[in-house]
Amino acid sequence: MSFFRPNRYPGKLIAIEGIDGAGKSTQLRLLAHWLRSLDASVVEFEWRGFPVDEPFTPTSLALQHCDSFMRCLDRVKPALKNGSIVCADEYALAGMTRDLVRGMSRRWAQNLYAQAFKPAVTIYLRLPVEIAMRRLKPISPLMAGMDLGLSLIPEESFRLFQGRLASEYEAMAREHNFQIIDATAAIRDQQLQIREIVKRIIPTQRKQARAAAAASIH
Amino acid sequence: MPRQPLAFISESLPGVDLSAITGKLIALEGAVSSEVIQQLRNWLMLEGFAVCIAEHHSNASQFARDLEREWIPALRAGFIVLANGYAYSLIAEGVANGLDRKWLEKVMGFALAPNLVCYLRSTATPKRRADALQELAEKNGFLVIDADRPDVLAQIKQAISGAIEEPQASETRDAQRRPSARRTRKG
Repeated sequence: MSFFRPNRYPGKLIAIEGIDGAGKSTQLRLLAHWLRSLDASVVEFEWRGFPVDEPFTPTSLALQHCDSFMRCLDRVKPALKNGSIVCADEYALAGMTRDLVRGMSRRWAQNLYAQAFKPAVTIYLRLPVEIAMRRLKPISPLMAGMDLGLSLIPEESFRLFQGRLASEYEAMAREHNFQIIDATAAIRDQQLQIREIVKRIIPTQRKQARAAAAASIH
Repeated sequence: MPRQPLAFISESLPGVDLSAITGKLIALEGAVSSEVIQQLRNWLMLEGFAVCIAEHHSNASQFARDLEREWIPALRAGFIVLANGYAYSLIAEGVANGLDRKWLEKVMGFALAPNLVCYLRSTATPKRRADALQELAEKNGFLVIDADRPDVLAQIKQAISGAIEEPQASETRDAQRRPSARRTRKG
């Protein structure tokens, strides 16, 4: 993740990525619930649910998203400082891939998100576009990327737009060390896999107790 | 290849073609009063130029949208676009608010490099903002004008006259002339 800033705070940042309809929010909600049950302090990184200023251009949309992202980053900084777990339902790569698919240059889009902290882990929910479409019907114009003029038929536009997003994500998988989850699996199966992944990066109570015990010996 | 009259600072907008632009983009940064803008507009119109005022945005997203949807079409139609605070003001604002200057410059790289940038320097401008503008002015070769002096309007007019007297972009002429008409674009 060469272009991200290293996260030097004690808190952990968990990013969930995937195309629209992959089940990111569902999985994140379950993950946060489980983490809280372990007495972890969990903060949600929410930056994409706001209304888009119309009319927009690819550049204005990219900047609006980035502005929202940066504000969110500022809001979660105290949480990272105090050791909380910050869960992002889509993070910098989501912004970047959407900008790339809308025609922005890679150099510019990467720079736009270069202020983002590197996540401790990026979980990628992999889902075929056809299934995503079935889950999401009726499809919103923004999710279908109707602004790109790929097709006048929302379903076809969705297929093309989300297909491009998926290709971008797949191309980044190795570089950003995605932990890939098969998002066609049962929700619970996915969640259990995600918890296993997250366990590796969070100091569990037992680990904390062990660390505290070790500290008291020395 | 004929030179384009205007170019992006460092990053092109997707799908935006600048080849047929004949207008001029004049940016006024710093202590710009709406009165000065109105007087310049009036003067240019009396001179026979079509003028479009680009009002300042404190929001990069709105800036991008208006650039693409209003100012570039106006430039394409041969207008003089007079920007009351342009991309550099946005960068200076961001720097004054603690954002990284280099990062902001790259973010705003999609803006068009104006034919002329006047920095109206005034003691009334908050220090951090003024410092950021001064740095940008030095780096990019803006024309610095003391906005606290009474002849500020005359100075701007003179600079604009110089900038708009450059031959309009006609493909044949353009190839032969204007060897150094463009200002420094990058440091």
